[in-house]
Amino acid sequence: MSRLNRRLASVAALVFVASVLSMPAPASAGGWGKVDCSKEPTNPQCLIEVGTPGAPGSPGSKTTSTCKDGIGRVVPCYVPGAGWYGGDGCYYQPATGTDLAAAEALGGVASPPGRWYVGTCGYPPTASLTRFRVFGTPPGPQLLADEAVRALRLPQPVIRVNPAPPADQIVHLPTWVWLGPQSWGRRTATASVPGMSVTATATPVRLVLSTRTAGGASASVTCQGPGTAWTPGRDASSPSPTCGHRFTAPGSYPLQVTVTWNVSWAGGGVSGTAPAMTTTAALTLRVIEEPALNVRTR
Amino acid sequence: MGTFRWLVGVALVALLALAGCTSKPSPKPTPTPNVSPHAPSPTSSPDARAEVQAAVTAYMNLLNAFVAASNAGTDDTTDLARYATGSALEVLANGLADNKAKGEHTQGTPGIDQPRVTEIAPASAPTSVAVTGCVDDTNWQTYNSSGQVGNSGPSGRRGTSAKIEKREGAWKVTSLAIRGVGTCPG
Repeated sequence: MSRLNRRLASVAALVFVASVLSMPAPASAGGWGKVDCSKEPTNPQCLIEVGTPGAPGSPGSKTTSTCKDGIGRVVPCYVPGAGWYGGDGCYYQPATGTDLAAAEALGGVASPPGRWYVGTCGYPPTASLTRFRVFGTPPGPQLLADEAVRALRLPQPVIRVNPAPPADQIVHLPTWVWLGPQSWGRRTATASVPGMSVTATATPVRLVLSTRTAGGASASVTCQGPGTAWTPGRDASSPSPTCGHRFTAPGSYPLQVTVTWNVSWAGGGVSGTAPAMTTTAALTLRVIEEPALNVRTR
Repeated sequence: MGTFRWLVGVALVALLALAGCTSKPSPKPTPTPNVSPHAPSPTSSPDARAEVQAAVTAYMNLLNAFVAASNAGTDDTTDLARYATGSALEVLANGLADNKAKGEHTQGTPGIDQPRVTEIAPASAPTSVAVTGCVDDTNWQTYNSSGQVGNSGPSGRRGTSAKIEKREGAWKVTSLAIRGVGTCPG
């Protein structure tokens, strides 16, 4: 955590630097403006730092990513005076004044939350190559959000069942299903460049249990939360209060769990959502007729 | 049925494939790039305005031409080719051919909203324009040869996006995506 805090502190300091540099640049640009990432791909300005905090029992990770142009050349994600890389070979900043008037005259008023940006294309950006584009989410936060979402590492669900295999399930007796402790819980990842940081958060929202009926049809049930762990001493005939199944005929049955994660992100003064993700796991259960109690044949 | 439905997946992929491949970086890296000061204000000359309008018109004409061809049950793409090329033309032509092969045709008229412009490049003399829009196929259904309504999915308002480029003096839709029902914002 302390490392993260230090990083946040330096990010805060750099916000100031970045905002100074984003004013119309003088003809001889500041030091950052002279960075050519294709020559110095390890320069911090050319990198997006991507990190995931440590989950309980596992260390966090920290890697870097880069912005690339259409031919795969590493380019800065942000160029003072030109703005944020839009993923299309151009750098964008909000259109204001005469730029905005020109954009609206050509293309009409943007539909909120979208707004017009003016793009300067190529690297280094060339003033004679300009374009107008509407962004709903500002390109800088969007770029980091994409990286942060990509960096999310969701745990593979660990399926727990009672009766616990290799013991067999018993026809008509409830099978309890729940997820192991690391399978359910918020996961985050952060992407940052000097001056801006975006954190993506994945939250598990739904566990679906799928198997099939004795007739072969698929059967699925949506559980509450990650299910309830069986504890010894419970009544074997009472079903799980949150997640389980009752097999009605002996045989071999597939059991699949699917966890759906809602994904949101925030940073750079804006927030948004990304498409939901899923994780799955499966095992096969054997179901037998209830053995006669207290009778052991040898 | 949602007559636009079959377009959805293929066209979207085509559009995504195009995204991000449009940059024309300078051939050699410049050692000490002069970071561009903010570009001189692009003008919105009447010419530039006419170009953007022509691009939007190509999009509208293309969708209307497709509706006309589909209602006629033809696979003749002559009209489509006036307003589209590349993947956009391919997707629409495949759609007409598919309908004809199945003996299906459409009846009615879809709603086609005037699209919003989302990209204009270059700003001073546009040769590439992107738009997003909405279509509604509630009143545009597919019928089989025995006159029954086809059954291939829902119909309703769908979001669209298209890229329109000036090719040899004419504005043509080069990529087109028509998404699922419910994807039209607002």
